[in-house]
Amino acid sequence: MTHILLVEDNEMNQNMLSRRLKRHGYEVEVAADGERAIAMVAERRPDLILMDISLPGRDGHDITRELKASDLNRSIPVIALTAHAMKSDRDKALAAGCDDYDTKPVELERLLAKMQAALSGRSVPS
Amino acid sequence: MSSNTGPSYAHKDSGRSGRVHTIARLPAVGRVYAMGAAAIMLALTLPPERANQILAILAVGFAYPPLIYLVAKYSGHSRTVGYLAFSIDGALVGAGMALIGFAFVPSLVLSTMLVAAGLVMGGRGLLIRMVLPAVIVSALAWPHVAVNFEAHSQGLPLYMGAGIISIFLIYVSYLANYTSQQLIGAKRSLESRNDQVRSQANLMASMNRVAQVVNSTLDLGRVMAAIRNSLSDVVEFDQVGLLFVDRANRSLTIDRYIGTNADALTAKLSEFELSLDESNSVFVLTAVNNKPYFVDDTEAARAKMSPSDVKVHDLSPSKSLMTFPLSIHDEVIGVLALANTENHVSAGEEELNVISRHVEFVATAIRNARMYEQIKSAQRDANAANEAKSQFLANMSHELRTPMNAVIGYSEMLKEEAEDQGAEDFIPDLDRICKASKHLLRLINDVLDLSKVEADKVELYPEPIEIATFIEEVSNGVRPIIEANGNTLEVDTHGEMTGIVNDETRLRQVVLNLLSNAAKFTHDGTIRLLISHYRDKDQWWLDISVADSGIGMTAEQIHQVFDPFTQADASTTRKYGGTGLGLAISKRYCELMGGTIVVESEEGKGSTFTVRIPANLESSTSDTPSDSPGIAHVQELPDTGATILIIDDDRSARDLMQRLLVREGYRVLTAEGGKTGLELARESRPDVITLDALMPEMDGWTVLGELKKDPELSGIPVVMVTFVDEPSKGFALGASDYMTKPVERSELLSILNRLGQPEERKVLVIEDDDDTRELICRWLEQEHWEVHRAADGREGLVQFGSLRPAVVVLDLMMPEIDGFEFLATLRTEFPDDHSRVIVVTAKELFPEDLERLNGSVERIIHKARAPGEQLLQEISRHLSADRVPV
Repeated sequence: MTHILLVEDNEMNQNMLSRRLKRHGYEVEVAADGERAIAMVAERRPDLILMDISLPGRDGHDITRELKASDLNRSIPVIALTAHAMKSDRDKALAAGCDDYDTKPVELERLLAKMQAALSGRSVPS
Repeated sequence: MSSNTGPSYAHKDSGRSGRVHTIARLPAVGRVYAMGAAAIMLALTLPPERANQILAILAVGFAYPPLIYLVAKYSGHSRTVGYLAFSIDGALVGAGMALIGFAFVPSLVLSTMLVAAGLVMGGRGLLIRMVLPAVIVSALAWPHVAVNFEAHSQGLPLYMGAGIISIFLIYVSYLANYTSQQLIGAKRSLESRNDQVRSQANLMASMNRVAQVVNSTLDLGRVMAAIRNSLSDVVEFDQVGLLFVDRANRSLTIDRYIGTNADALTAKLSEFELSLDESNSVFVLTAVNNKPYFVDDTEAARAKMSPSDVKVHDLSPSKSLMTFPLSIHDEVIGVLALANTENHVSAGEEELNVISRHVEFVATAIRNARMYEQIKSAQRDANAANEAKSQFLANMSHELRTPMNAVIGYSEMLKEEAEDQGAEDFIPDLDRICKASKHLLRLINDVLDLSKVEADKVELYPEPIEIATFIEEVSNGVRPIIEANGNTLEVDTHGEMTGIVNDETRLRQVVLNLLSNAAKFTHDGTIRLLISHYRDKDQWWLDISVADSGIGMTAEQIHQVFDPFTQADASTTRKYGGTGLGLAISKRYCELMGGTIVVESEEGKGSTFTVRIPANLESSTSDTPSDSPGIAHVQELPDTGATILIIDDDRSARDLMQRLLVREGYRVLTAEGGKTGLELARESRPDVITLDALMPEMDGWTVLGELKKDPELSGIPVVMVTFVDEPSKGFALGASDYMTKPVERSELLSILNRLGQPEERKVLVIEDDDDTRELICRWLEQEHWEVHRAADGREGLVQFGSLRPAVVVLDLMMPEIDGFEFLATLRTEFPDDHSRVIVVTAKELFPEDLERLNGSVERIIHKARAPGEQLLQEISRHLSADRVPV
């Protein structure tokens, strides 16, 4: 089963998104902040990471940069999720090393398509 | 005597009762005497047996002069007859000499008279006209008469000849004396006028110095000091005080003193208030009566002074005191006090007038300073409000989306779970929640988008657009709603779709909006998307039109369709959904891109929305063309567009004008301050400069002064664009036009359009006759030419060098340097000049004149042949015709 790590601090979003993804057959684990996320990546080796950008403490860009700096983790695709919908936000996320980017509120069909694409090693235009 | 010294075309040369032309009138009396005397001399020279000839000579000698005058007067061609008469004179003299066998003494007398008359009357031209017939007639007669130089050189004819010559010489001397008397008189009157002009000029120069200070600073202390210095030529003052009227407290407060004891006075009087009810105070009187007061001996007046005046006087005793009201728009805002603490001064009406005019500058300076403060504070408030607004928008964007995320997510999830668990009853309600929450999200997004545009917070991200992909994406995006109503989508393109650079995200938003609108309001119809790429007026454009065969709109609806929150009617929202903001946002985006969006529609027939935007946003909004090699049209800048330099410290004003002007095809340079502005002006020589007046560090008035002082820049027209409503000051300092903010788009464009091609409308009128010159100039000004004047060729050449006008209207006969010489110098000194020269002359042109003018002038208009109005029409008709120089 495909193993997803959801990095998200908002409990409601954690709950909702993980439940919906599980319904679509994914195994989902949640990390509520960046430090926890890095620890869980090392421990659980997820197939894909959904990364909220606005996190308490170190933000999603920062965490992504650290993950992508490590040879061990570089191959794990990261999809940034943010409520900021500006084009510059997308650029920032991609610059930090994210493989793709999606906006909140999540449109599940679109997110699922992006996840599929990232997992199969290609990205689709947002 | 030039026939050209008067507005000759005003002397109507037609009609029997018309005036007799100078050339016929002036010599008439002289001709009677000269011809009479000559006839008698010839008659005496001939032997009595040739009585027939003697009679004929006497008859012609006495009858011809009055006869020719009458012919000139009544023929209606007095000018032509006048010139002809000189030739007849010559022919008669030739004939006379032949009759007496060219006897030496009488012949000498006759030829001398002929030459002298020619020279006195008209110079070389006339001389030739007179002498030539005489020589021809003599030459023709020579073989047929018995030539005898010796004959009749004694006796009566000799005495008579000598007498005639003496009288003639005395007459010529008298003429010379008369002329020199006239010249001396003219010189004297010129000198006295010169003195007047010089003293006026001194006053103007001194006022100008003060004006420069007023314009360059908002510091009242400096303005007052400048006025004290400037007035030192008129009346000596060593102390200047400034008092302000405080209407709320009905009092006068002392703002400051400069000069003797200034610091002590200012300090001691800083809290001092003079009640406006203290009606015998000279300061209060000045403010209340709005007129100046002069106390020549303050010591003597002390006994009658009001208590406050005594207090001021005792702090710094003065000998003489003058007070002037300071008023803005007829309201007295303060009093300026000028005092001499050392000596008594005396001043008459004239001095008071001069001082009053200087004092007006203080009022202007105060007004400038106050207005500047007001505007600055309004600007600070506006900036703060704008900052708060955008911060609020950024926060709201995030705060609203986060809960919406949960609402939409959970309702969708519940719906899915209800489906899985077979709870069919819940599904329709959950569906409604889903739809409503998605609608709410769209609404939030739209409101935020619109607010961002309105708050000037949207920045465009131009990037190359692949139109085929773009079309595929929008078609896919909109297909479900199109098919939902049974519509079909037709897509067509026109032109080569390369080199398109725009903000793809925003453009997609606009097109999707138009397509989904069309889909919503059309059932079982066709929706056509047409994209065309084409060039118009040196600019590449992208037209995107969306045409549907739907319900269409009424004229009323069309009128409001782009206004936010005004959908066709309130029920539309319920029936068709949507936020009602899509078109408003689309319109703002199109404008931001430098384009437009328009709609054509007919109720029941369908609607067509057309977006027209510059195809390459990079080439039309940036000053320097982008150097990215993949874009083909980067260099396709409008190459005929004039360059405009905008000098304004306010960024939003600058951006607004820049966007507007770029859209109109101008090249635009901007500077945020006077110094940078001047540097840019020197570097890039713009065609027109727009200039704000109120700027920190170096204000607009100073910049304008600098621009006009620099001979290389003084020719660039400057348009003042400012909150300050002082056009007369702007014009006095050399501005070409004046606009008050907020800028009216069409007004700005029409001014720039006019000034943008300054060479096209500059005309130099060179004419020595004041009346004629003024007449031509005024006419041309009415025809919206930029008219410059010169009174002779020398002045004309000087002006030509600095103005480089497109057209020169040139008189030929002028003192100093005449029209011929002017042209010759012009063509050698400015060999590559293409200005058009139109000669307007009263001179009768001979072939050799035409030879000299050949190739140098475009047209010769004869004053006599096109008198009055006709002349002006001829000039203007000729100027308006778009011809190239011959």
